Amino acid sequence: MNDRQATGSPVTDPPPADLLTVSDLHVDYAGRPAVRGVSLSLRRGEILGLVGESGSGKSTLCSAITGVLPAGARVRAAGLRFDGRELTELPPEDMRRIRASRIGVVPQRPMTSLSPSTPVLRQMRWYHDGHDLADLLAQVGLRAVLDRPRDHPHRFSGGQLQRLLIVLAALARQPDLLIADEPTTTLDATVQAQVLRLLLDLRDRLGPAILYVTHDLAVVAQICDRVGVMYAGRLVESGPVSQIFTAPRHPYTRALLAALPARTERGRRLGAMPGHTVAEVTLSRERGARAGSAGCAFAPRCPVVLARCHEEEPTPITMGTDVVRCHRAGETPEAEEDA
Amino acid sequence: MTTVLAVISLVFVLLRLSPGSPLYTLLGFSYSEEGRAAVAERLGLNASIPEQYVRYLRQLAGGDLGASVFSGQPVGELLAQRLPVSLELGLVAGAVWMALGILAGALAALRHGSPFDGLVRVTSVVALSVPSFWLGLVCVLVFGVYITGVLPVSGYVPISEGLPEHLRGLVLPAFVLGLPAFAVVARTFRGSVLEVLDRDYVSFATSMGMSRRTLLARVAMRNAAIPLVTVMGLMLGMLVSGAILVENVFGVPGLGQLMVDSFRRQDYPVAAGCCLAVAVLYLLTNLLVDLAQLAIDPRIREGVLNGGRVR
Ligand SMILES: Nc1ncnc2c1ncn2[C@@H]1O[C@H](COP(=O)(O)OP(=O)(O)OP(=O)(O)O)[C@@H](O)[C@H]1O
Ligand SMILES: [Mg+2]
Repeated sequence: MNDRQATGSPVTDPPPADLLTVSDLHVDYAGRPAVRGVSLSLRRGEILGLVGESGSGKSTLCSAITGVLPAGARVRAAGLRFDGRELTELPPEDMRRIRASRIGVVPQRPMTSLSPSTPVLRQMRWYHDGHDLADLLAQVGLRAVLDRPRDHPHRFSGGQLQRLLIVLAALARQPDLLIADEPTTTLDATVQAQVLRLLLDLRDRLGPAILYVTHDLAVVAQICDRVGVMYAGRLVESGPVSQIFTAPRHPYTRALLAALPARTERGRRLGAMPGHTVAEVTLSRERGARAGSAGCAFAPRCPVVLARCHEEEPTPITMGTDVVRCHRAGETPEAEEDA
Repeated sequence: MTTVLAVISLVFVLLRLSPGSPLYTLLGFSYSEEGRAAVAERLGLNASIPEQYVRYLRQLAGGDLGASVFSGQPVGELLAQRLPVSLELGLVAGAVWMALGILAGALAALRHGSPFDGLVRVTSVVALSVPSFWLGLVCVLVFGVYITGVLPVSGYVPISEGLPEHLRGLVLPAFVLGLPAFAVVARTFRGSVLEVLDRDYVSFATSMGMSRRTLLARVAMRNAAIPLVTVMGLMLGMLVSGAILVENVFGVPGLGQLMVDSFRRQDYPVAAGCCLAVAVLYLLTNLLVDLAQLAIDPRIREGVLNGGRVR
């Protein structure tokens, strides 16, 4: 099972080639776009946080990477390369083998992700038959599951199921790429800290790349190397966490950060940032959902909107380590103040 | 038990309230007042209706179903003759057609949107909208007039006269009887497989690299079967009532035929006995369905263990 251990390089190595490269990915559900032109890349040993409001397409992006989408979904991409192989061109059996051994996905909804008519422990053994199951379960504080061989999923709490899924998709599998879709939402603060430690430990030991979806910016600050911000199906800004948290360039990113409670040092600095308060940039969901097709999707809610933003969709601009989709990204904050 | 009692009472009341009396049929042209009185006395029809009711119940409690007003044959004996014929017809029709329905439904769902899927959908709508007696008559017409000698359209060959002949006789009645069950089962299963394939647990199993075949067997079909069990139970019940029509169209000497005959002649004990048998069949089917659900659906099992849902 662990023959891949050798290929995972410790974080301290010089940056190797990207493990995952997504270029210009589009996903439609029955013609309604959910992901529009997302490009991102992930190196081994790197944790990329993915944030953005509900419905912005984070889960859809995750599913599109492994190709596990509902029947009505259509995927289009210029490229979807994993470890040098183009996933969109792979025969189904090869893709299945990659899913079975190299990519782990912790799903967003733990309560519905296990079959309701088969005992949980039996399902765990479908995926992991090793002797170390007891050990792995103990790591997430669920050794007791072994004493409940006949209990079906409905007998477990959401937090318990979530930890079991983390065991299956991450700890037992030790994948090269781990995609974790809000893996700690149902966990209390101490258990969440414990799970995060396990993931960091996994990363340090085996060096997988991790795509970590969350709404919790504090977690992003704590564990991620880079962060991507999604809005209405687009990746509006991405870059190193330090860069984005201190000098966000996209107005939506700023709004997100301004909503952070100002208790951390970082937060205080951001709270003091001139211009935009939460009230100004109300995160009204309806308006976001209607995001127009012609101009920038954020324009209706943008506090620094220009006439041009309504007509012309901004293309991604690379600025140092940061990639931004905003017409005003190149301007200095002072110039914005005048606008 | 309450259900059985309710059925008995209902049948009893309806029979007594309907106009006419077995006496007229029985006496026919030799009808006379004295004759009527004598026979009525013998059959106990002179007593008031409540009295007759109590007497019948008491008799039933003793395990006696009474005897035919006409032939004097005990009802129990009649049922023992006729019931196996109906059961065989119903079970053959049900088993073959429901198995086909499951197969067709599953394949249609897995080839969602294919010509085969379309065929299954159209077939099940058509099969459901065609009344059994009409289809039965068409079959009689086709195989009795146009294509003679292939399949017998009427009469019944007991199994003692050779299995092949016996089965040949069953083909048409079973075809007509089971077709609606096929339609309903195929449609239900197609729908529930499609629904299950879109569930989170199927996505998770797929994302864990479970092969398609394993996934279908372990996860998809198993969960899709849960609603199917209920529907199959309902269909078994439908086979019982369908048998009454079909047996009469094809002249199969089963419970359905006996029932219609006895009602027409107002042979009270036989009619009541038939209804009783049907009611018991329904109850047994229901019990079977509940047990099957218990076996397959953990949440129901839970409910029963907690004293939730015991019938
Ligand atoms: N199975 C589906 N069928 C049709 N539309 C879907 C489906 N799943 C998601 N969508 C739509 O796609 C868009 C993106 O959904 P997605 O689940 O990717 O958002 P998300 O960013 O993960 O949100 P959340 O933070 O709430 O999990 C939404 O508008 C949603 O309504
Ligand atoms: Mg999501």
